[in-house]
Amino acid sequence: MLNEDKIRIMTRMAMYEKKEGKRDSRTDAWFKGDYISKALLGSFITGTIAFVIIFMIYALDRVEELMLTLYSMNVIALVSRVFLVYIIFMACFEVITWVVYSVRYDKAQKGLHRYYKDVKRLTDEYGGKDNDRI
Amino acid sequence: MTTLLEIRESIRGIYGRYSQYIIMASKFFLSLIALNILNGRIGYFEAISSTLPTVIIAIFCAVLPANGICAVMAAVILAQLYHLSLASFLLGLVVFLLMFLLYFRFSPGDSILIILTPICCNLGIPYVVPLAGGLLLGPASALSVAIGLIVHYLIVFISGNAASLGNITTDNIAESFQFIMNGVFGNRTMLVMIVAAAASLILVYYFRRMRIMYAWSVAIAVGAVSQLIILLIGDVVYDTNLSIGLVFLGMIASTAICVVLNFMFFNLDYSRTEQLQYEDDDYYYYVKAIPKVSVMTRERTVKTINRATGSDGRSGYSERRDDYGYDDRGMQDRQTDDYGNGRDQYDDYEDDDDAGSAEPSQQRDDDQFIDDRGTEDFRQFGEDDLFTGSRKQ
Repeated sequence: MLNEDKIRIMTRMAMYEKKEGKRDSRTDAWFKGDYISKALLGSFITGTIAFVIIFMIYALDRVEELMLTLYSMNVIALVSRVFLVYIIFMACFEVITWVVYSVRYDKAQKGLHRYYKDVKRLTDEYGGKDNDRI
Repeated sequence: MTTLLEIRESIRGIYGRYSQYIIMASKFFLSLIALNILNGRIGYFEAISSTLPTVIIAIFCAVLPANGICAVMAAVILAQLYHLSLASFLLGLVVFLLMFLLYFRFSPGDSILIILTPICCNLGIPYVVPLAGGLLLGPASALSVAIGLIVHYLIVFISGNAASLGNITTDNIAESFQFIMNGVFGNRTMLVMIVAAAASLILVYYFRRMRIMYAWSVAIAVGAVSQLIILLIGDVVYDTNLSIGLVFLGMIASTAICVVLNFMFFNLDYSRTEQLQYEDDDYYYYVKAIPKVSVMTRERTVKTINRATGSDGRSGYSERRDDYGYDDRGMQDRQTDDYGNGRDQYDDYEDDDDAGSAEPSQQRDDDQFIDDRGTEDFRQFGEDDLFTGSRKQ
């Protein structure tokens, strides 16, 4: 005789394992602090490269003005301004990264928590998935 | 209405059974359409613009995830631009590099919108993407739609200025660079479209999650009207040269498509709303339950009892007979006896000697006129007098 409740639980667990479970278990391998730190480091590298590209495009767009004022400009002030823009850009990008990966980690934890609840229920009430006790 | 609901349930049933193949086929056709649009606008590299390579690339895209399809499309665009000129290739490279560094860093799940948006723009219904994205996805999809619009306008700019981009030399590189910057990143039509799409998507998402009746319908209406208003304001302020008539037609078509999406994904019967209140140990619950509109589909099963066709051409009759002469239907060969009576499976029931025999038994009793079927043979009487049994002489 088939136990419908047990089948329902096991089907739900199997569907989770096939889809989100793989991604969530990779996320769960990290502590939250380490997971977000890894993401922030990656965003720092990609954000810096993106900023350099954007700055180069901006500089090429203003190349005539730059050439005309090259000998009279305050280089330190220019570098300070560029550095300030870089800090603001990276701060925004890192905040977005922190929010996105923090939400992802919490969602993964919630999904895994539901999965382990099903495992516990299966074990306690039905003796596990390999047990034929109904 | 019932017919529409039955069609919807049928579509759901078919999708439930064959979703894997339907998704692969959808990705194939989406990639094929996108590649055909690219070949039509910037098909400078003939080796990948012809039919066979296009189909092969589309087949390859059918087995890739959405992010992979985006990467393949970017590679195809860069290959086409490289054959036009180095300047256009560098332009495309910069745009896609920024896209991958800043956007694909987060491995988004809605990158299919980046491919859908240029396709819908070429079909004249770009407004459907933010409406559908707000109904089915989340507010972060606004970024995907914005990137899709940037890619579309980049392709339009390059295809419209192919001659200029192909003639860039070191002498005119500064002016050409300014021309590219103003044409791509300073395109006011593109900026107005991005603002309209992003605002519309966020508004649609916000309204469809509200706890009001007909939330999705309200969200579609608000999204369409907001897009229209922003596009009209943008046309007046920035002189974007949008055709208002085409915008209206496109908006009507987009709204109709979203109404279909509403019917397929969120069809509720608000007339049967139930308000419930109950409590448990920790909370008191106020629940509003709105039933979904659905209908049971009739399941028709066609059972074919007999499909064999005999050599005599009659369907249902098989040449194969058992030892007793019975065919698949349990019938013997329907030859008739001398009396014109057809034989059936009961004819030889009592007489084993005649089993399988197609001929009527000639055995008769001693009186010479009653055979083993109990049939009297009156022919011996010549012209019969059935009442007297006497033969007329």
